[in-house]
Amino acid sequence: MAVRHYHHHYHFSYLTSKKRHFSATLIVIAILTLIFLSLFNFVTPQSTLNLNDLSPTIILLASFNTLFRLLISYVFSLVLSIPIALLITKSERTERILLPISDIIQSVPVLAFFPIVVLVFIKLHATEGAVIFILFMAMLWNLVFSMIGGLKTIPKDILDAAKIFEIKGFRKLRYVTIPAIFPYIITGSLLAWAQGWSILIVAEALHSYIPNGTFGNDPLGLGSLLVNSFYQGQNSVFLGALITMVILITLINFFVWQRLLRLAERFKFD
Amino acid sequence: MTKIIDFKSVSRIYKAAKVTAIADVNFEVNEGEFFCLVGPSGCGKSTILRLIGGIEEPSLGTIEKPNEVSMVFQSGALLPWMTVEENVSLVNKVKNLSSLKIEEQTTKCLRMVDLEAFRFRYPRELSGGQRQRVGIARALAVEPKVLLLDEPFSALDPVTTDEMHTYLLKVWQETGKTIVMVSHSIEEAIFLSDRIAVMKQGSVKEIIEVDLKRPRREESKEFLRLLDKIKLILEGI
Repeated sequence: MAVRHYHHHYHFSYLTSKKRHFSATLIVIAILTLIFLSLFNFVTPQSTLNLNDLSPTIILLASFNTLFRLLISYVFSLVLSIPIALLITKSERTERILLPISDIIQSVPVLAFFPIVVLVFIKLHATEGAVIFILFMAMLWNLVFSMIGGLKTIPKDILDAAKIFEIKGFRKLRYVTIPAIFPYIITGSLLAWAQGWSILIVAEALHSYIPNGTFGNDPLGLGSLLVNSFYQGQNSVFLGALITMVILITLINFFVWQRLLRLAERFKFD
Repeated sequence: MTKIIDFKSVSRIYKAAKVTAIADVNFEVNEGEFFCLVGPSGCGKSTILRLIGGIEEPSLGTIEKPNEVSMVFQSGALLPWMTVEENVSLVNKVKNLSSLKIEEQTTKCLRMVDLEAFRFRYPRELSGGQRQRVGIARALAVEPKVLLLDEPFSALDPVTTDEMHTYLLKVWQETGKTIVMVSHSIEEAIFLSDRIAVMKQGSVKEIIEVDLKRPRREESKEFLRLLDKIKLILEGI
């Protein structure tokens, strides 16, 4: 009985309502569809060249592709930003050396890398890689600097407690460090996604960086749809893509960021 | 009496800041003793506690101490994203103890500080005194030989502080642990401890024996005499 009681305290319960089960099923189906469609499109890419054939399905596919690219870039930047932030704040010495270097790198406009990046990825026949790399570069530093801010605000008593109770290494990361900087990860992520959305329009319009490039070189996505429809005078397509983008941003903000921001409140120190 | 902590000519110098926190400190703490360090801010009390806790290393001298040491912090140092129970059981969980042992230990320690009913609450849902009691339960959960307390009641109101003194004495008497506590309040030190190290400018000026029966009364003659004696040492007269 005592053991059962102990396990009862975790924040979640397997006994969820039917409504929650139904919502969860829908979310899983949506995620799987997104992954499947995006992967399928990455294997047999569809260009945005022929805008006359545009249908709601294409706009939907473009939305999936864009979200997929943003998500992959975000995951990469999130995974990489944690060790970078930890390394920078490891000691006063590492901070003195690495912080100015990171500051200079993040100050270089991300698009300055773009022409070289595009050429390299085209040589490798991986245009998707170019888009993801640019989005990743745009997102990374927002996360790194937010996390550095978070790491520096962990109260000294908490760090001392971790030391005296011998909570170190991966366990310290899992039980202390990551939860302690969780609110900063969320604000950093919000900024990273905002940066991702704003750079998307340029990142998906690859043709401008390819010698003799055409609209056909652009991977299908909301960003490339916006740019190309604008240049081809396809106002309805432009408007459709724009509205879709606004709806997506609003939905993500409402269903993801607002909830995570509320959750982050629980992780704040007094 | 068996000594459990032994400071031999210990100094702690912060080279970067060019500050000597403590210089040539010598004292012993006996097993099961309630030992208190008093003195003005910046006299090195907390540095001594950090050295016993292994948070810092001495620059000079040697310290004999057991490895099983835990600490109660001034701020409580509780993790706000964890419940009372999770905070108390975390260290044993990290040590890979069995669920049964963790549960037993957590319940025992929460019961000792009368917080069993609050085990699923979060620190933000507790009062200052309750949070400090969670801190004490957490420190006890690892079954330490020495319990360190760094001005644990300085942020509490007088009524809660009195309550906390009662809890702390109860815990000390029930467990028989050695307690080393830092306090800026001389009254608190006399009320609680067996011996008091009076510190000033990084060194231990005198160690005072508190030979008063418990429960102690702050208005008693002996209490007031000790209070005056320590005040005189601190004033350097």
